[in-house]
Amino acid sequence: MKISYLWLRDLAKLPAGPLETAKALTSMGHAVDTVSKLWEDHIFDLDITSNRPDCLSAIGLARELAAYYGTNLHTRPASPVEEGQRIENLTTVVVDAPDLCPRYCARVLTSVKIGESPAWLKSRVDAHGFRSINNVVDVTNFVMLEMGHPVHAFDLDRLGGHMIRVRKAKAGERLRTLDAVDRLLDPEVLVIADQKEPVALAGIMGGELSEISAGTTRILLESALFDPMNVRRSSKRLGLRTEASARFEKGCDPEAPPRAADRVCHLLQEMGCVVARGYLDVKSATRPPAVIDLKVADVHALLGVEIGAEECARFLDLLGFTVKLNGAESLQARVPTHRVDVSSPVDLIEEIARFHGYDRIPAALPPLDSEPEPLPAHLALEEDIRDFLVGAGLTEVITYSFVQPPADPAGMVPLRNAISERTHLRSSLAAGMREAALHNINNGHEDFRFFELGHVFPAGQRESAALGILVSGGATAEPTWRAPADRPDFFEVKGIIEELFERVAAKWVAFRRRDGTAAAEISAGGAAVGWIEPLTIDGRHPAYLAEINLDALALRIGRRVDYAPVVRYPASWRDVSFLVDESTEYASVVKAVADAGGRELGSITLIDLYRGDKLPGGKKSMTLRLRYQSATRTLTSAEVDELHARCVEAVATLGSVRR
Amino acid sequence: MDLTDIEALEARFNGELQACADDRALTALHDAYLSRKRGHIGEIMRQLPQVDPSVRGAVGQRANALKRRVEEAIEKRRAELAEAAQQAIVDLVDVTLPGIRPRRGFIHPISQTRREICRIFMQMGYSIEDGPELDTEYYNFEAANIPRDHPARDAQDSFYVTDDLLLRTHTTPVQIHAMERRKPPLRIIAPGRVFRRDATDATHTPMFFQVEGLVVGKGISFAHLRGTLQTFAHMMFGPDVKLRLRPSYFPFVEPGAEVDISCFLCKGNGCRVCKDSGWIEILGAGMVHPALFDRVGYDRKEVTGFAFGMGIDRITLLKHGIEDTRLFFENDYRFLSQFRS
Ligand SMILES: [Zn+2]
Repeated sequence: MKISYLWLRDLAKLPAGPLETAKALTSMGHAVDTVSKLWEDHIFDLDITSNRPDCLSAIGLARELAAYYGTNLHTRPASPVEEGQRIENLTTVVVDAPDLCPRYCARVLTSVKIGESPAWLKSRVDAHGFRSINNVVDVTNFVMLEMGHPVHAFDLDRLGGHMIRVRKAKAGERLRTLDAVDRLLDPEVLVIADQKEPVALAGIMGGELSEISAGTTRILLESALFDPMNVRRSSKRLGLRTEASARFEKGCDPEAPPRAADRVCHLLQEMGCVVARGYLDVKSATRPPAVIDLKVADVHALLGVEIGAEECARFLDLLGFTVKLNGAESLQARVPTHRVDVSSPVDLIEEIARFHGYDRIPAALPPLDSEPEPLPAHLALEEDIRDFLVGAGLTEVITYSFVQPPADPAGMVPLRNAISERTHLRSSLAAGMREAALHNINNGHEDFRFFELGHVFPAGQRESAALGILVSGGATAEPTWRAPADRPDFFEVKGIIEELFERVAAKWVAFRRRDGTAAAEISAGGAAVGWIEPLTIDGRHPAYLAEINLDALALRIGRRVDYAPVVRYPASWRDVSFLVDESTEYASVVKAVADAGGRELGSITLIDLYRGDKLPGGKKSMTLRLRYQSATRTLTSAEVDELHARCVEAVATLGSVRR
Repeated sequence: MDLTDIEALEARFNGELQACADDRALTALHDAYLSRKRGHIGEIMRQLPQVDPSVRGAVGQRANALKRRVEEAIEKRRAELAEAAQQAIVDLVDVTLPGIRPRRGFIHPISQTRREICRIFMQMGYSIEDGPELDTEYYNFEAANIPRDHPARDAQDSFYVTDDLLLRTHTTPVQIHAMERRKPPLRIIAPGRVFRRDATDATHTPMFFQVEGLVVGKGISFAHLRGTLQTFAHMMFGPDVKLRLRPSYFPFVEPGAEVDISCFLCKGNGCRVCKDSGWIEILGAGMVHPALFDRVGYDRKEVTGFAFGMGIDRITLLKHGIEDTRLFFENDYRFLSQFRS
């Protein structure tokens, strides 16, 4: 909100200059974002928190400053001289919805001459961001700025039946508001109506029909209270936020309506209008001001600093509370009506802290009386994965949790109120990673290996943690003087995942070909945990994408380190080469050999895989290097030969062994 | 045949040895002198029976001595040549050629900052909590003392999936879940992704990262909040950093505070980052509102607590002088690879 320094100075008789005043406001919780010079004045742009609607006004801020500096708030005259007819003879006010309009004050002015505002008024509303329109509108805006209470002026002669009825809109009713928009009203909207139709959106904006115009001679002045919730809902639904609705929706001083009306009348009277006798004040029972009991010990306990009862009482008194001290232990404070935010002891403690000064509260460390807990396992797993992958040369990316969906968004959860083409929650990390890849490729960088750790939201399932890997570059980042740059390779991605799974001690990891594709499904402990897929980015750039469901993986990891004694007996190696059908998977060979070799077969390593013209059609050649070792003794050459013969025999059941 | 012939042979050998430049020449030389059948020394041995008996013994001895010297000389020469060859290879090494480096990987700068913040709080005895990113109205708003139609919801416009489910706008719901699950005292931090329906610009993205902290127990006060944040600021930004607390409003805390640190870039003298104020706003904090305790079944007469929250993205921006927060989610390798960890 914008407010003039000179205005505040006049109202609060400030002893300080603009910059110092801005600091004081900030220290009280009314953050001054900028101070800009305007002629001889300075305009503060403030960030008023939503709990302090009373400070959306010159008097509200001046009241805070007067309390801060211990000066007196200058009151403004609001005592119009009434003449002529009584208001009851000129208009009537009926409130059909007292729950949504607890108070409605009306005044009538006659002999109105619509014209330009005096210079002081014009410049004041102008400095606060309002366009000067005419004397009446300017005065109502001025009073809203001054007192924080929105007031609306109707052309009395354009109100059907010269009356006001506060009611909910009827289905199908329309209103053309002052912003020249024809609005269809729904029955939840509270309107100000005349005898037959709505003339204003209560607390939000007036209608064109009853607008003050050059020919207006009689005015009905509305100064009311509206239910904050209803104003807020209506203004949201209508997509119409105004200075008035911004104030009503946060709550207004219940005692303000007659005062604000009188202040407007007073100013308009100075401009030649006649104020009719009396005013209408339709109100339902309003709550009496809150009275709060506060224990001084609670102030000390919550703030951690000793502030005596007298001091607490002094602060509250400065802020307009009516305080009664009960010895040194407690006090009772009656809340001023403009403080709609204060209703409980802790609210009072905040006021005391604010005036004591947050920076005068000492610093101390809390007692360590709670036992710290270890990092939860799933977070520890993520940290381990992050470290491993970064060490393995992958770079972490973070992509949006919502994505642009594919043509068929089945399996994805849509956002109800997206703000861009990212309309669906991601069900996989793939889309975001592809997007990151595309961005880099479009910027001339094709060689990268990325990973992301984040949540995914598949439709109909629980949100879960996932790991995504996208490999576009080969093993070496760039061509070197020893070797050219590599292409991305399935077996490297698989190698990264195998190594990762081994590090986190995943159980029984297996890769299975996805039928008819070059993709692989990954399982651990017998359950599906992820996949690897080849893909082409932008139609040209080969890459591999993998995704692991970390929640599923976390359930299938074992104890991290299970010590096994180091084998001290020597190992022997034997190789076996053989031809098998192309359709024979390596895994089946390994299984056959492992079963045959038993405990003394230490490891199986594929050291050569050959395909080519020299082989019979449909065949491939493999060479395995087998390591034989016993944990309990040295194997003799004859024993090794016998073991190896068994393994070779097993191989022979799958293909032809080359001797 | 006499001793002078042997001396002449030795002189000839010495000359030929010097002429040998490689292994092959040495092997040939070896054969020429030492081969049993064709070697020069073998020849002498074969002719020995015809030598005058008075000098036969001396000639035989000299011939054997020559054989040993030839053997030794050839071996020595062989070793010299090998060493020279080795040296020739060594002389080819250019240590200024580029090394063959392992591929480099980088932790995202936001993750780096998150780790740093978490590490500091873990050192202070905090436990780390996390929770779902998609949570209910109740946990995101109601339990955080932000009822429907509360003006504070304006600052947290949210993405909804159903009437009740939304992408959390802060990590406060994690604190609520933690309080429901655990009894006081507790001391936790909750880092994570949060979402707000803000238009994207240099300082706003609809997704960002937060860390919130919560301490609840007997006698926890605003002074403890101040001490905790001061300790954090010193560890995170340096021991000279000063703290400034200003009253502010968050529905879930009271008294509430906005916390500034003295600008660590200009040491408070004013710069572009602190907008010449000398202060940088880094977090919001306050004493837990008693209404939250009521919700989770803590006795508001028994315990008090403080809470604080900060944007990880914002701190990362400040730490590295990054000007546009959108860069974090663009994932340009040229950006990411600057943040060596
Ligand atoms: Zn600075």
